[in-house]
Amino acid sequence: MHRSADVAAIELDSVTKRYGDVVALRELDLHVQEGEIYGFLGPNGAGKSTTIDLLLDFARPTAGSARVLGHDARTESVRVRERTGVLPEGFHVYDRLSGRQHLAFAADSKDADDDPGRVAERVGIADALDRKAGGYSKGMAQRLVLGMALVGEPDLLILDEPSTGLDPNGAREMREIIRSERDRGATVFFSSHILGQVEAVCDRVGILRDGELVAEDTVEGLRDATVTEATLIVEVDRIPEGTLGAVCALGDVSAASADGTVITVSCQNASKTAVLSTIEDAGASIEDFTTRDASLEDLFVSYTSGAGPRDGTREAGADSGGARP
Amino acid sequence: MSWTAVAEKDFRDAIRSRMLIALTVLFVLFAVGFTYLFSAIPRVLGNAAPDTAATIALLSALNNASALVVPLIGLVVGYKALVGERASGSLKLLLGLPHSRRDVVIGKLVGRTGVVAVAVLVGFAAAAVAAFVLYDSFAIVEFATYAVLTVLLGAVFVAIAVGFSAGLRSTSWALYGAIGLFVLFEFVWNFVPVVVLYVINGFELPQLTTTPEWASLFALLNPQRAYSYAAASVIPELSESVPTEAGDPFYLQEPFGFVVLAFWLVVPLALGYLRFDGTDL
Repeated sequence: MHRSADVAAIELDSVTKRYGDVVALRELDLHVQEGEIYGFLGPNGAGKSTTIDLLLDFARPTAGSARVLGHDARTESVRVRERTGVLPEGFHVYDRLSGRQHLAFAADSKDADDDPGRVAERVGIADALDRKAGGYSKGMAQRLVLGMALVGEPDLLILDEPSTGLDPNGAREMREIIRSERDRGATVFFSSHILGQVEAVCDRVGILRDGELVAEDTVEGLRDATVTEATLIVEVDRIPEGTLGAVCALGDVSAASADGTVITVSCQNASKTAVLSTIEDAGASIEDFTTRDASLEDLFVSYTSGAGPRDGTREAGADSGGARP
Repeated sequence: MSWTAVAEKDFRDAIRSRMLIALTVLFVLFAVGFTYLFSAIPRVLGNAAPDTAATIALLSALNNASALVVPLIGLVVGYKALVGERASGSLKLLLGLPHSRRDVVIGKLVGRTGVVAVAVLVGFAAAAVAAFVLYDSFAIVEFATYAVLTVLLGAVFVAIAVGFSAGLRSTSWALYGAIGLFVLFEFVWNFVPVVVLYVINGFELPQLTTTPEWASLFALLNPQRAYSYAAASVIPELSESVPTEAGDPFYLQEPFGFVVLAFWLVVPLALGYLRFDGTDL
């Protein structure tokens, strides 16, 4: 998985970004190796786009430093962007320019001699190449800008929510392009709020929540972590005060929440019995219970919406149970 | 040198704007209209003008039209240059490519000046054709020189507008800034010395035989006036249009018009750039 030459394509050191009173990133450390596909996961508003803005010098960090491809992201930004292909979030194409003119502009800007026709074919907009981009659908604009990012064989691709506006087929083609770029030797860093897009293609995944990295592992590693985890759904007659607190105090419980008279607990498989008896000891009588193995999705949800298994915080909120984004 | 790529892209983009086409048509009508008018007037008055005199008279008249219309074109073409891209999100495409913010600002200035140049040169070319047809003679060198100077005036106002566009975060404020400046130069500036003289003279208009130096200098700081000075310095026949005297200090001489134009070309743009460079997108 890790290349022998331990070179970082992206290196954030204790980066903090504040917008007024709002802290978008909190002492974030992030290391992306050269040649890997890194999936940057998190719900909307977690700070993913802010991180990308800092990498591209669209925004400047309040504290800490960022290096991209060995260059300082702030002072050597042009050097960074000479070797980086960018698919930003919330972009807009030039309405009056054709697809071909966009791609030619990208080639011109990067001193590359890519043929717009070939790039357009690769991203699937060859038919629309000579039409004004103002008439493109969201998905076509997304493909066009991906094409602009691919121009000049960049060493690093930074893709912010690349599947936005794409149908399932388009999303699959996007993944294929990401893989072939990695196989060519490029590093791919892309953000998403949808786990499914990430797990199919990423070598490593980082999960961001409220401006902090709450988990970072290979997809296999994350999956392994979930095998021993189970979700226990317990129906009780009532939930006496302190029940959730008592459950959370158990060593192997990573999250517990309640919705009405249903308690949902994420815990190690081996601890299920202990959880049930703790609930009964608290004064509730159990009417029914089911268990299921936690999926990667559950894990993602628990990382991004409530307590994460690895960051030690535990949630005992009585009414946030089972929330799905 | 990546500003050239930005300039080229921006020229292609802005040249397709409908507003520009409308302004070009407006300018062509102005230029051709004046040309026609000045061919008619001598005949009406019964004294056909000698060789270059007709062209020079035409240029003096065009001066007023240009000083009004060209700044307007420059501001309209320039005010959205950066703030518009920022608002729409295309700035992220532009700065995702390896352009420094300085190259983006310079590229915008050059690209949009190119657009203004097209409008101005089309207008002057149309006027030249009309002059060839209507006049007995036509001083082409003076006319061409004047056209180039008018492009320079356009560039100054593009630079001012791009400066606003770089420094402000809202398209409407960039527009208000551009309009405000236009009103200031067009309608307010020339009254300021008069009002000051009125006030320091105890709220009475002074009976002056000559304009005080500071008042002349202040008037010259208006880029539209500076344009007339600059034109007079390269086309001697136009020197009657500006109130310079042989003994005036250098800053009231005709060539100083170029210094004033250079100031307006550089300073607002530099301030806007510094603000743009210091902020998050």
